[in-house]
Amino acid sequence: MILTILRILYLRLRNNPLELLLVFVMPVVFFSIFAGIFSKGIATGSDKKLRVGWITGTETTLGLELRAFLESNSTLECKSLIECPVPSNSSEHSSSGEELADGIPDDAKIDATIADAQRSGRYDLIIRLPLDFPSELAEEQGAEPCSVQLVTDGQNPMAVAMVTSVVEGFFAQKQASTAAMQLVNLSSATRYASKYAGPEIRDQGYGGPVVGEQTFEALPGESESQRALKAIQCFDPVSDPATFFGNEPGSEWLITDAEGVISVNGISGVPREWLPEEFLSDPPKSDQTTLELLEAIVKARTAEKSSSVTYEAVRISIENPQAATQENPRIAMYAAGIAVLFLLFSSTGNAAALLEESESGTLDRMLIGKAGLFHIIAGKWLGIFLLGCLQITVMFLWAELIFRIQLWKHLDGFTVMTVCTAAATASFAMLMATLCRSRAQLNAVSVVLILSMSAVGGSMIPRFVMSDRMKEIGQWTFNAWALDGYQKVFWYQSPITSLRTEVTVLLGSAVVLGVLALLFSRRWKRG
Amino acid sequence: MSESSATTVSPVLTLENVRKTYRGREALKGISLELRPGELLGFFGPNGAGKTTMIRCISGLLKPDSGKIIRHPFDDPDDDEPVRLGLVPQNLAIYPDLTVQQNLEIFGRLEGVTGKVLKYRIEEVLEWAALKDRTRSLTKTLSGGMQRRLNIACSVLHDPDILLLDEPTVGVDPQSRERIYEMMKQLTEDGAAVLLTTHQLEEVETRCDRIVVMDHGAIVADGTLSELVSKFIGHPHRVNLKFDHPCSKPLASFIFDEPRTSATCSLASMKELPQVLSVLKQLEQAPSRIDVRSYGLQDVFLELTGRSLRE
Repeated sequence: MILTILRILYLRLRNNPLELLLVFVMPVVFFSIFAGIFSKGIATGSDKKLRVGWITGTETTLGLELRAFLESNSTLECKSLIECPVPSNSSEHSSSGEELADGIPDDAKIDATIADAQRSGRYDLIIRLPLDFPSELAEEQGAEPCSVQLVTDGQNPMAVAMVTSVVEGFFAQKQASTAAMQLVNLSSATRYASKYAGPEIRDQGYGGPVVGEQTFEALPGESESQRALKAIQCFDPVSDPATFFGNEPGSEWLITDAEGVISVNGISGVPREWLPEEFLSDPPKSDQTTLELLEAIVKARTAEKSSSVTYEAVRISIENPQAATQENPRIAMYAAGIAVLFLLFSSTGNAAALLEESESGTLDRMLIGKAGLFHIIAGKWLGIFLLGCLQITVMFLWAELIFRIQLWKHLDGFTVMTVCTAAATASFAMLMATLCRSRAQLNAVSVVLILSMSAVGGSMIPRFVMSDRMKEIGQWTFNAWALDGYQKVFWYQSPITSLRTEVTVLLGSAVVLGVLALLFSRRWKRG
Repeated sequence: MSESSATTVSPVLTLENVRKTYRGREALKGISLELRPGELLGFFGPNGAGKTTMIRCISGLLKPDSGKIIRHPFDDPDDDEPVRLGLVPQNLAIYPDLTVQQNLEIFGRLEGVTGKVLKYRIEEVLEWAALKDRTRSLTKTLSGGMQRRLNIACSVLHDPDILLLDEPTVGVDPQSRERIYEMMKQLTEDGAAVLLTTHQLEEVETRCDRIVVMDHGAIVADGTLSELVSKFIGHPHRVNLKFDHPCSKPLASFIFDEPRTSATCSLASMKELPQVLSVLKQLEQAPSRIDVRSYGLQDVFLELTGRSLRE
């Protein structure tokens, strides 16, 4: 008996191609869609890079280095949004007002560019450098850190985390490099003479080239100060080491001109590494011994060394212009996604009534009455359209009530998008009903089509995680256009005029599909 | 409707040599027919004979390939009032999720009946279909017979001149069937022409004024039951005798078969029966069984269409 029951199931499946389609083909179709999305979209495969927009008022050396660093990262795709010149003096820049005379964009233009870039949906994140972004990293403690602004539309939170990490990595690397240089400089005071050999002229001393053949041997256990003293003795064995850094009364310890230091205590060619920067502005006192001076130097350098890797080099701020003026812009997207998905289902369900009426003979009864085929199709379309508008409205009203999506603020854009979306789905549903021969066929076909459209079009999975190819495919669905439109309205708060493309596509589809539905429906009239 | 009046009243519907090829098959092969006001015409034929195609052609849902379908006085240029047509499909062409009243309102409006007229007609039709006490019931909660009556009621709200019914009594109990035929009788009495297709022989025999038998897309017979019997069978009654043993003696008016265990005699009228049976006294052995039977539509039908199965 069990085998007989099993056989019934088998025979029913075998004799019903639609059921076979649902049982075997649909899972494969969906597997392919989701595999396409997740393998080349969300996953970290090379196919899907984070697209980063780069925008800065002026290009500086540090900025260019940062950009080069970002471009070298295999997970990022960095593209400049504004081409701007390298200025001769960044202090001339203004941060407000019209575009500056030398072609450097002002804040207003940059803001507009960022808004446009976000609306285009082509960027996961935008990096904005301020007009006063420095040319090089500050080395001293207490200096103002570099400011980097990450502008996000909130669609891809992972992008913020990733880019923040990469930018911080750049500055950490830069800091480490600077600190390493400082350490190298510190030790060069002790190593200089020992390493130096030969008559070569080194053009890096104060007041002239560094010349000499002296050597000394650094012994284990010697302090930095002791080694520095040895080095000075090697450099100038005649002079008392105390006189080198000592400030003789009545003499000018440091002689400088416009181009830099000429001599130190009358000695030219002093290696730069030996003279701390602060000594240039604050010469040592005459009563300090050479050793004390050297200890002071070492202490200062050591302090620099320790502080240079701990001070704040970059301050990253994250800005979400959309979230700044509304509470839950993302909720509106989810509301739209779900609303469109269910709208498609309910629309085809309502359109199926046409087939039901055809099967029962009700349509024949209508057709021989006063109602023509056009009236019937138009009436059905209008009913599905109005119901669709109502369905979306209820969804958004609920979202407004619970999540405060600022429906009233965007009522105009919402109305436009709702009307267009409902019109397109109504025509789609009517076309499906006129193409299919039975309700069973319509149910099977519509389930496959609607779920596929919703998966690819962004109702199930956000489109920003999809690969470009998947996004292109998504453009063939109502979901994608409707979601793009609602996104512009609720997320980017764009004006109605920005909805031209979405409105054109949706209304165009509504007209084309509606006319096709009318043409295909003639089979009922002609028999 | 009497036979004489049927021929004197001008037809409300005329079909002239209507031909229709449907899905690669010649479904109607030159159908010619007239339907008069007050006439209940039964269309009878095996499955696939072309009955439904013909109804769809008459109702305008199908366009004939050739021939004419004239709905008088619709095609009469001197008459502004078009012929009103009602169609009762074989399936329940009503909305099960609407109440009886709502269904009637909807289909009334679709036929152009509105306002007070519609309200009045709904009252009338509810009474006519014996559904007055179920006005507010959802259609799906009605019995099969009630749903069938509502199905018909929805087609008469505009007071049609011609009502086409496709198998109107399928799956209903005898009481409901009786009620449906009473409804049709009232319609014909009010002057409507009713054309129905059915497989119920008894219904056609007893209810219809005229019977048309269709087969293979053509009308093979058209007339009253007695006309058909007399035309295709001959005598309308038959006496059949069965014997246990072969009967060697001949019997007047009876025809024996071989091996003479059965004999048949046809009668023009039942009045001849006593005289025919009286000859049995001459027999040596009494018949084991005597069957007296009147010929009906089934005999005509089988005579015309044969006994092979259709579709």
